[in-house]
Amino acid sequence: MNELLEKLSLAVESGKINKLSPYPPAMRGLDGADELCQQALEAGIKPEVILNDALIPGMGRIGKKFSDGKAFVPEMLIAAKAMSAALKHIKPFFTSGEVKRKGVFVIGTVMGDLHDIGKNLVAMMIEGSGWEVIDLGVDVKPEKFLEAINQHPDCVIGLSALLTTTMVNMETIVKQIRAQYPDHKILVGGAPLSHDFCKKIGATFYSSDPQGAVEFLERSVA
Amino acid sequence: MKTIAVKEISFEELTLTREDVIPLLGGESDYAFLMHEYLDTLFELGKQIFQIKGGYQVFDKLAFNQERQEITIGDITFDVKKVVFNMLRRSSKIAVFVCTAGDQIHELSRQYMAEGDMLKGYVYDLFGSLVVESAMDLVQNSLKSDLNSEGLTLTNRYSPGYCGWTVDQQKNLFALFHPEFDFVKLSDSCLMQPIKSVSGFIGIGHDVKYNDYTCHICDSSNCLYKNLKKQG
Ligand code: B12
Repeated sequence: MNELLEKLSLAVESGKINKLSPYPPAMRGLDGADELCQQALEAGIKPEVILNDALIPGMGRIGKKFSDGKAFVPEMLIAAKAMSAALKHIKPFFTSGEVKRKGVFVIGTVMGDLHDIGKNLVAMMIEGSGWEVIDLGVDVKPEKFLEAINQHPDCVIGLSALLTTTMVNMETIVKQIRAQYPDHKILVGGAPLSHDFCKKIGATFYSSDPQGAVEFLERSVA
Repeated sequence: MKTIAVKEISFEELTLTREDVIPLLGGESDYAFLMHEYLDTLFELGKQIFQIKGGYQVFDKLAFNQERQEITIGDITFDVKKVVFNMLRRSSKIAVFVCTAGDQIHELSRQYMAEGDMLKGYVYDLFGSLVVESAMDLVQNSLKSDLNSEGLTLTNRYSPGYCGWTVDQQKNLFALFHPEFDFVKLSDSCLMQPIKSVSGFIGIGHDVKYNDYTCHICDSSNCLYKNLKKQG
């Protein structure tokens, strides 16, 4: 791979935001994701290639480390900061249509629940894997999800809940979606959930962490 | 012994230290200095950020149904399930507690996340969770010192949502409280607000046990604290 892209990918994975950022100590004084992405564009590398060959794999590696218990949440979030410093340069190409995202992912914390740290982490990692993410927020009613599907018929839905008493509201939401869109892809997650619960309520897929969701989405577009 | 005790707790009274927080953020890693920067601010501004309040109400009209693993307090029955039942069954009184760190920490955390600073938002959120637990330690300690003079001891805290005791039982728990406890509200879906709140039972008696390490009785497979406590 191009040396610049390799450096950029490593900068994202390690959370090196820009030249001035003090972290990681081993990369002090070196260019960060911000500068390297700019340089890659200036070197004539296609934004799509930068995204797919450097940024997404960089985020993917840190996501995998977290999933394997080899990284803590803060490391993932520092990497995400580096990712967004790079993405800033790519975003204009999304708007112009030159770079296409993999799809639309709509996520929300289900009605009755206000917990959103987990949902926000998942949203961030999925965005970092090349999807457009629409975050409906917390306490989201079924109608909101249906509206989103209306607007983005090919979107994948993500539902989050943190308590068993709010997790049951997922069932209502899934039922209402299924009544109109029997085959729509619905991902579920959150601390009290399980594969069994996912199966029971008729959702498509359960993942205990963001990486599992990213991999599922990857397979769904392959 | 007071039957109702509610108190505001100032952030300075907490025993929470950096050493309690850092391990949950990855320990003294090479990014720890970034975490320390957030913690500097949090410890400095804690007094303004947190509105900590907690309390307990003690009940002595108890009935234990071993077969059904139910505890009745007054006329409200709790299906606490096996583990909690066994831990509480020797109690002569039960203190029902609630404690909150206030709304502001959650709001600040959300604001930072909405502005795109997920890291800061996450650290603030985690800190809020530790503050409410630490505040509840103080509430429990004050109950403990209140009881010592009467030769009574207490159990650990047990909460709906742990060890098989279901979260929907929060409705019953909140039904026990005197109106003084309305600084924490319970929604129809059994969510407490402020979010950074905890609730539960503490058993009181001459023959009850406090365990320093309780993780082994809990069935949580994904607890943030489990492995850390095991090491400690
Ligand atoms: C910190 C914590 C608290 C804190 C703060 C809560 C908060 N979040 O603000 C405090 C101490 C206040 C607290 C209180 C309570 N808690 Co609590 N708490 C936790 C704990 C230890 C961590 C939660 C957390 O912040 N995790 C970090 C985030 C990033 O993780 P996450 O939200 O789970 O999200 C991850 C995954 O789930 C997944 N994910 C999330 N959403 C989605 C969506 C999709 C689509 C996908 C694919 C993946 C995905 O990806 C995320 C990143 O990895 C969990 C146990 C645990 N380890 O999860 C219990 C836990 C959530 N709490 C629990 C309970 C019961 C309670 C209380 C009811 C106890 C009580 N009676 O006092 C109260 C309720 C509070 C309220 N407001 O009503 C239970 C809930 C399960 C249940 N039985 O219903 C848990 C699971 C513990 C247990 N028993 O196993 N809690």
